[in-house]
Amino acid sequence: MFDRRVYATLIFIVSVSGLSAGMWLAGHLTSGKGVPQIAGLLWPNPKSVSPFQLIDQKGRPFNLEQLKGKWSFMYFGYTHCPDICPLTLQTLNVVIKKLAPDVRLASSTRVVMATVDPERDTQQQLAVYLAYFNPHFVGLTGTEAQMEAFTRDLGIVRMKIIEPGKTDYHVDHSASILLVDPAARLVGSFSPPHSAEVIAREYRDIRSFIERQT
Amino acid sequence: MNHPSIMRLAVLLAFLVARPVLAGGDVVAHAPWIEEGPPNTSVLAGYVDMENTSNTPRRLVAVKSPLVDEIMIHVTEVKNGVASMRHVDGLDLPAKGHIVFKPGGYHLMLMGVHGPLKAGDQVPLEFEFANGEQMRVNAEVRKSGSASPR
Repeated sequence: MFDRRVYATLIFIVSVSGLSAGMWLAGHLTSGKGVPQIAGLLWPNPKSVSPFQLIDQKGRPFNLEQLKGKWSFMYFGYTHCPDICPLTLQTLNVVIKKLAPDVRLASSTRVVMATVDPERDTQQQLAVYLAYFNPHFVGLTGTEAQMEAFTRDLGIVRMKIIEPGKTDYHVDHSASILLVDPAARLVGSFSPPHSAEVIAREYRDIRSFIERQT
Repeated sequence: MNHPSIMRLAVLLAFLVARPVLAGGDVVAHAPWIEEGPPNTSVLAGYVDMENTSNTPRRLVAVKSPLVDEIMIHVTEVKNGVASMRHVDGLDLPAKGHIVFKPGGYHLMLMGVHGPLKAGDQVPLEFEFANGEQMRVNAEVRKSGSASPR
């Protein structure tokens, strides 16, 4: 009912058709020989992340080279989001805690939040915001064009919504947590609602499977 | 002299002294709380399990606080993998029923919070119903247990 009353300013809908179909297929057709059935696994033919240029919350360049070398849980959110973004960041914090006893695993895993609201999420804004959740979390921002290119490449939807009579806005956005391997391939996607338990378990399974492939 | 603090205190006192039209004890707010946020956010979310113990349905139409510019009733929905936040004008509280505000669902969106709120702070909330009744409760600011740095 209330949807009818909201007029949405559609700034951009990132085309997700091709990637979504690929992700769906990868997620559902993994029963072939040798590929384990793990809900979050995107295999075979994981997408390679395209080159991009962003900065982290300390103002340092963060591009494809920085993304490589570690396993990254990648979430897309924004700092003016009071409900699902803190919830997801807290869930990821629990995932990290669950992995902590395994030093090899933990030291090669990071959490990245890329903003879907570069207009308000400056590097400084992200720095203070993310430090509250976990000082090790990486925050990514950039120009509108840079963020659009990055989210489009990864099939992330973001829509700026202005409620009637308001100047303030919020941003609808894809809520999945993506898993990127050290070769910057999109190898996993965890759909909401998120459970730290499930994500930690599937991450271990996905990782051990992919590490066996190379 | 710190004028903003005095103003804040005055507003708070006025709010506490004003005589509310209470909802007759029919509506009970169980464990109202507000999620503590990063120090640089002025947008917070509040949650409560609201119970209507009477046989008369109520409709929640507004929520206010002297410590917040504006509070809106919002719902987070995930459709086709996309999380969206929507404002709702009001929520029906059925007879002998509950409205549960919880993370990832219905929440009170606090916009323009006056100064950073820390865990343990009490925030007065005034719930207004369509029949003109009001209910005042204090919501405690809490930090989610899982939010501490590793």
